[in-house]
Amino acid sequence: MNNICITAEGLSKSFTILKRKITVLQVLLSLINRNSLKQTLWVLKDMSCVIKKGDRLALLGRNGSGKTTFLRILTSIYDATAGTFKVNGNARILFDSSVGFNAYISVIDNIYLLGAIHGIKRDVLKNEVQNILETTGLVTYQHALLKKLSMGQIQRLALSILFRSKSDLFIFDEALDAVDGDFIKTFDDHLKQLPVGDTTIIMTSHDSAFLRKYCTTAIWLEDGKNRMHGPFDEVNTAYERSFNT
Amino acid sequence: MNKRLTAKLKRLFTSYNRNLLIEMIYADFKMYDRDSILGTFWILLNPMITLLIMYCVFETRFGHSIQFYPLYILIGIATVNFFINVTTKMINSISFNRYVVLNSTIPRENFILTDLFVHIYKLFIELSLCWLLSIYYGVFAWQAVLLALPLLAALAGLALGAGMIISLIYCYAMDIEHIWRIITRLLLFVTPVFYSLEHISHFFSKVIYWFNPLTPFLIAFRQIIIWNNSLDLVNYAYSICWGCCFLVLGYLVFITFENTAIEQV
Repeated sequence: MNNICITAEGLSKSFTILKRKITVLQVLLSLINRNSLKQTLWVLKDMSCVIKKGDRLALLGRNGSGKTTFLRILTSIYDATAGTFKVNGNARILFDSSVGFNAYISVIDNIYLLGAIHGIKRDVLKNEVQNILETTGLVTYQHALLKKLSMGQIQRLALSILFRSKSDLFIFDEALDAVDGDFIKTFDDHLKQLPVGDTTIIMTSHDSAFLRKYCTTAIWLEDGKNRMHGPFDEVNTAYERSFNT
Repeated sequence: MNKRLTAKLKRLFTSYNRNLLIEMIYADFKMYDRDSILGTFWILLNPMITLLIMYCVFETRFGHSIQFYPLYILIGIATVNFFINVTTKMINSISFNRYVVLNSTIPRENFILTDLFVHIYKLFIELSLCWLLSIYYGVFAWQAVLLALPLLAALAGLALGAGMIISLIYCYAMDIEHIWRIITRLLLFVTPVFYSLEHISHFFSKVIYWFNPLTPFLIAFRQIIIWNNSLDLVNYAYSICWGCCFLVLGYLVFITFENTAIEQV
């Protein structure tokens, strides 16, 4: 059991959505006809999997297949409608590089803010700030408001802070899409510093070349179900073949 | 209380969350008057103008029978404004931060708590003005400051509890924002800000005292700041009770329904 990072057993998640636009008339008609204006939409259906410690796992699937919902359940952002799961370890997530930053305060203040979100205290981060600014090339911007930075600079800053947190599970949900060569190099450098075999990484992306570079295993989600789980190349080939059939 | 709720309650007091909350509050303060030239002056302007208008309009009607009438009004304005401003800000705390809430593991109550602290700072500034006036009238006493602290904490608890509940309701029905604006506008009149309970009928004074949670706070603050030898301990305890009950109720409702509420936004 010690080498298991995540176990999910029969995870399901449903959302209630509107069938049609709500107006006072529609509400009255639905009361008279006893028709509900809402319907249940199952986004994740009976999802089970075991993810081992040290796995570099890609979550594959089309838009709306349940990847983000599955990750949000694992990080307790959503409650599961049914099923159970267990996460061994402290998850650090990056669902969007700009999340957690405050556009209207300085870059330095944002380093402390995002650091706190990732569990790094100010006195620990104080010794790292200069290094973060230098490696991200933001020394001249340190007192500028964050809104003055480009998206690429924000991505590099977010990543640089995230990888300084002590964690054994990193989750990236399409946060690494549309990145430039500089960013890939930064990401590579950070990954190399992680202890091999101890740190689990889960990624979602629509860029299969990017995922192939970093992931060794994959789960293919289709219509909220675990369609396939195995070595990356095998799962990815089957997933890509599904587009042609 | 089930396991999930206990875990949520515990997360509030972890060292991780304490550190995060401090950074969020710090960022909020940094943002607060970032583009303002006059800064703190604006905090004082609103209550000063309200005081001036209320004093001019009601001085002849109520002022003669109330000692230190300007100070009496100012304490009322500061207390009621605090409650109104905090709860109004908290209404859309969750929906405004929806994207962050759905894409991070930051405890949601942190967004609401962060909104509270800037207003506590404002309240301190406004109460400092009250104390300056009390020095001017020669009624200032140091022990009053100590007695006011638990009352301030209870008032913050009252606003926080109410804010947590309405921020959840807002996720289901945005109408609450309009309803709350009407309620808060009425609060200035159904709370003895510029009149005292003796000025209204016995029935209404009972209703306003027992059903408006701000009334005992106003009475206690005035007894502490203006008439520091005549503190009614029962009223003081009653105020603290309102604050504690709202805080506990609001927090329990919040941690019970936060996950379903966020799916509605």
